[in-house]
Amino acid sequence: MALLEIRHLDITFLDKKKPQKIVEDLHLTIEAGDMIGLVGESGSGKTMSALAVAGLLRQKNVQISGEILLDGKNLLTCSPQELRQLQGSEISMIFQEPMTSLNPTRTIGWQVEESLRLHTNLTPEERKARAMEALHDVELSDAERIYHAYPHALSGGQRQRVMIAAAMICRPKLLLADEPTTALDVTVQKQMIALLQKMNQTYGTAVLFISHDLALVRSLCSKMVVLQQGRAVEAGDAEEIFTSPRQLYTKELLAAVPKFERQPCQRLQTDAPTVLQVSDLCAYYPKESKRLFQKKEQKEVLHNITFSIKKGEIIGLVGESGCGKSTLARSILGLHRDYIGEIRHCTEHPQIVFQDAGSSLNPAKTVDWILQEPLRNCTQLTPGQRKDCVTEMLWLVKLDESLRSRYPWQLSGGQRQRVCIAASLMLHPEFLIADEPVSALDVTVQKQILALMQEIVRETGVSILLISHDLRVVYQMCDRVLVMKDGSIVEAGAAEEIYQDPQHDYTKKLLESAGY
Amino acid sequence: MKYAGKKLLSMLATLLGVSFLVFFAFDVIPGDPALAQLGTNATPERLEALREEMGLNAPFFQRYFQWIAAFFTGDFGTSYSYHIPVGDMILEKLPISVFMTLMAFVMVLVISIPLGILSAKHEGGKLDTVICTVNQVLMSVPPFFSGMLITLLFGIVLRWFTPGGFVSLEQDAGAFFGYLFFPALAIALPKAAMAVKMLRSSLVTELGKDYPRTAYSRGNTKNQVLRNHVLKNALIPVLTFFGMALTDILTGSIIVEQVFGIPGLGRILLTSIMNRDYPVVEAIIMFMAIIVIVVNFLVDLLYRRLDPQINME
Repeated sequence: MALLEIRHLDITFLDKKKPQKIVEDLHLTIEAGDMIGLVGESGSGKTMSALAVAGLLRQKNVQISGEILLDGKNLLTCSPQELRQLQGSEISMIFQEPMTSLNPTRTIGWQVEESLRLHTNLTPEERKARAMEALHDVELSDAERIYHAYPHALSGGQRQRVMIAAAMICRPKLLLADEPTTALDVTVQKQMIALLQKMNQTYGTAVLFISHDLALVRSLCSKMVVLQQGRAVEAGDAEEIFTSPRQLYTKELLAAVPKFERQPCQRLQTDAPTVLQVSDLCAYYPKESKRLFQKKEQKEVLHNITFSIKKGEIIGLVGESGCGKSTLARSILGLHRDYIGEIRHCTEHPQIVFQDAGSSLNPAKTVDWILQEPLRNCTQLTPGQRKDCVTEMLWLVKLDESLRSRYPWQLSGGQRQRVCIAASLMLHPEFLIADEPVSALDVTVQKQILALMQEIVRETGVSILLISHDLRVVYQMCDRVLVMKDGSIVEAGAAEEIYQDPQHDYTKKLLESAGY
Repeated sequence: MKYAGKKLLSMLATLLGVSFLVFFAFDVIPGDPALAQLGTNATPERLEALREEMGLNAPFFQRYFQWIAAFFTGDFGTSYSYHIPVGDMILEKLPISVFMTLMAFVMVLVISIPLGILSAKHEGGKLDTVICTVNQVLMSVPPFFSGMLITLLFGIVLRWFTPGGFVSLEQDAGAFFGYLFFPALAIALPKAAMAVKMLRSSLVTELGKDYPRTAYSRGNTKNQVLRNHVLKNALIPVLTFFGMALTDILTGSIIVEQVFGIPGLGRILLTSIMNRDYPVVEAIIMFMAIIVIVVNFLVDLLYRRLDPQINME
């Protein structure tokens, strides 16, 4: 008998006026100790399927039919008590967002031990011993300190390790991993994958690995199921699907995954004018003062940054989170003023496009209002002229004219990011910063936005500083690359040279983690 | 340690600021304490003599510094109208007001926390609707009016207490608390209703976050998630409200004391204002300021206990 068998699973959301089918007729079998991948874009129903298996969808407004059998027991029809006995002990789940999935007001030790408290009769000492063992298991050095720490003191990677430790502490038969690496840096991603493999091999825990990244699933799982709009369109051997996909959708998904490929570099004119010159930039953040009447100390977060951007150039800035990428962007834009060194703009109104288009647009204003705002603030144009400018800009970013009266929440993620790009271009800046502009988007949408940005550079001659943690995206897009580590630029040069022949150890490590 | 020192300094600075404002305000507002004491048909000579005697003719800053220096050594001056030390007057009345305030505050906690949890637990259900509706009504009734309704219902119809029949603590402790219960209830109800509303919405917000989902995935029941995970987080924003409610209740008890005929601080404050008995008024305001500052400090400490993200050092 299979460990988990999903048969004819239908999930319907009833809260809208008409019921919405999220998952339709899903079949999935997991044998004990298997690693299975569930792949699809956001909204394809992969997370909902996992939540249904974990028993987290028992809500009034959700209708689930079909069968989810764990060791022959139907999880959809068993009593809440029976379900709770399985949750955390037989089935565990780890989530995409390690930052928010831990309780901020409880210590790590308390949270790791929770499943033991609920499912076993161990004494507090035994529980602590098990928790320490679990923390060592997930390769957290300094486990004693982490046991007593609160989540906010831990990095994203450490938190995800804690999540895995907590999920594995009762040695469950099945671990549901919902995009566990998406929110993490590339170097950490690789470690996390290795950790999941180790758990699978050491304890024989079967893993249902949910991801939008086909390449990642291929490297980890023996089998995979591809979901499109709640339906499984392709299922079978992971390697086979990856190398010879049968369905159009799978092919699209594969094609959209950014690869280490690029158009042959169009040589820039070396005499192009410089739009931004940064020289010897050091930026500071105030440090907490230790004593009452002590002068506030400062912490240097950027060290001697020097680079320039020419007209029409796309420069990639790569590095892990916390390395100072965003501080650099904020300093250039004048949002962070505590710096020494020189930032010389040869253009007015430098603009920025943020990562999270959803929360960086005012939800109470229409697209039209948002796009007109820069014109209202910085130009003398009449309302009629402003409308014309908006029409023109919508055309440039390939948004339909009818969307101008919509509110941001009525748009899809890709459309929102187009609106953000349009808003940043309204004043025809010569220089634009794009801070992780596609990392919150699905691969297929990501591809479209990247293509749009390239087209805009060709048509308007704007220069872009592209901040990204995805080395593949940077390779596709950029003429030159800056590699940043701990506030310093450790390597800079033409994209091809850096990728073919990295000089610095850190660059090599980054490229290796990204699978180059 | 550094935190405590910093906090203490800022508390002292606040108190000094308040003291200056209070003293300054009573110096510039129209009304002459000497005139108030002697009546309008006093001769100018007698008035002048009394002013001299009361020290009203000295320069402003000299009087301020004398007063504040005496205040910090525990000498709050002498009442103009009763000619007894202000300290004695206040100490006699303070326990009544403080008891009533604390009773009301405990009622706010005892009512709001269980009801807030209950309401959030059954969000959107019948019980939640009932609680929210009653809340809405209670919130919109000011304490002096609910005080009158309570007097009517419990005092006159049900005869559970005798309106106006205040019993002091020394006479009969049981009767004292029994009498204070109803005015305390009148003050507590609207505050409790607001607290229920805040706690409910805070709990609902927290329940929608990611970490309760993690808790459910480990096999917690809804009650366990609420009690062990969500409540502590949800209380953090509500704590500020509880602090404000406590100081609000203290200062707001003045009117309710009038409705129920309680000889607390409120009563002497009002009569002293009428009589231009400035030493009494100033001392009472200073006492209230001290209580407000101390309560805020305690709330701050509690914050640090609840929220590990606020650094102790």
